[in-house]
Amino acid sequence: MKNKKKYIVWALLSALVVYFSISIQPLSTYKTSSYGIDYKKMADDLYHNKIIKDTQTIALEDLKSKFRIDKEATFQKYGNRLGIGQSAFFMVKGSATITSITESTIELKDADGNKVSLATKFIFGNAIRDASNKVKLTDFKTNTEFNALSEALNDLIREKILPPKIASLQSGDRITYTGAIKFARNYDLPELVILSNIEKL
Amino acid sequence: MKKILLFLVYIFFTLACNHQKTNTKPKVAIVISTLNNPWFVDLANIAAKNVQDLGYEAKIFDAQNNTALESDIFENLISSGFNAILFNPTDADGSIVNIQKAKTAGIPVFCMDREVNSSDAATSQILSDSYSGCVDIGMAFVKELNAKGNYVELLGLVSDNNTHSRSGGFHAVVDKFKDLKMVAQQSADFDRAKALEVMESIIQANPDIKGVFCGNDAMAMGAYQAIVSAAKQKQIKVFGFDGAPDVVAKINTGDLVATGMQHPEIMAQTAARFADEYFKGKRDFPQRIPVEVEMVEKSNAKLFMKP
Repeated sequence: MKNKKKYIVWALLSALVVYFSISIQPLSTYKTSSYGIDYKKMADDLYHNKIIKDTQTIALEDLKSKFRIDKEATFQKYGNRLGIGQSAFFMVKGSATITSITESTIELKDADGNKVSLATKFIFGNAIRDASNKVKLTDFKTNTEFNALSEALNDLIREKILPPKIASLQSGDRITYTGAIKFARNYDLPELVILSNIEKL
Repeated sequence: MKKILLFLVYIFFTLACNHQKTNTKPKVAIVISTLNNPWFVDLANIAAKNVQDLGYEAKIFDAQNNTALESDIFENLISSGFNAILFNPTDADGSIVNIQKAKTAGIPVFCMDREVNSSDAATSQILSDSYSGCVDIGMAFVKELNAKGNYVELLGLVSDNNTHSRSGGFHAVVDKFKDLKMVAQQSADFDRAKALEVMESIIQANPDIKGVFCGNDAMAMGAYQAIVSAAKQKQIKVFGFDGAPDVVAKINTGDLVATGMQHPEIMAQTAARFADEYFKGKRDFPQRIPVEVEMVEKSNAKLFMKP
């Protein structure tokens, strides 16, 4: 009887040791785990301290004319492509007058009559991160982690930075903008800029 | 007699030299997760051709989506004296140990298309940028469905990182639109027949689906077959991923909406080139190289159709 009690106490103690020694997490949590990286904080720092203050930008019309003269040299000097591909991302800027504001874009016309669309709703993917040229793939252990930074950056711009600024704008306002644009070697020049910042003049 | 002996010695050394020459020609193994999918067959054949064009011996191995079989293949490769492995892993975690074995034996491993969850096991990983490709597809999906309605997602193999990055890219967009409701998310293992079966039962349970996103084109074709059988091809929009010729042709005719064009030829060519550079002494390779995925839709499908 005494032995039986002793075994029970030992069994309970062993169970307690095992219980506090391990932690069980669902596989889904592990698969999407950020491995302790605070992407929101990282995106905030990337946007405010690097993209806004210290990113090489080129005027959109200037980029277009350079692209028409020497495509390859323009890609090398102003574009950023991580890995292998036909396209690259560029950080562009411009000033123009708003002609209309839709649910997903701001339409502009500059002093020379050139039209530009700024995407304000479909801000997704790696366009702004890559156009900024401020983050290296090798800083992250996996592509999933690297992409998580883009998601946090896009959320910040789409949900926090732009809405209050856009709310104060209307047709006829003069503005300046910066944003990312994707140019592909085998396609015509696009007119859609993924907006990263806008200011009323 | 002396002359005969000298002749025999000459023959012996000539044969020995030739034998040694044969043995010194580097052998490159191409280990593929499964050859049950035409896309991977293409990847394997292109890799083999590139290796042979560089003057090396190439041999293709099929791991049949089985990490145990993959492990056996790696052990055989190590003992058979292969000099490099161009590898399409079966499992993002389970395949790491096989790469480590090859690394310990001094054999470089170049991953193609599928990523493993390690930044120091493979010599280099040349990977489709599935995430970005599926972000583009996600945006096209939202626009095609006018940002509302019920939809379905067919996933690939859950142990493959491509499954997660494709699904992740798609949901990074679609989840921001609250009127889009995912009514079913099931794995069909990248397999056309399984996708047909899974989609048939999903349609029966959810007759009001507006769209389906499939993690590869084989599943998109299977899903489309189920949709046609249920006479719902005008109601349900199908999106795939891979850039398979039959899917591109169906996008061109308006039967399917979009796919992501991967470039197996670039991945295979780069992996073979890296093996060649390794044999010539290079050791400093980038750990991961993303390869761009281009979206194919009706407006540009003709550009991607092979003659």
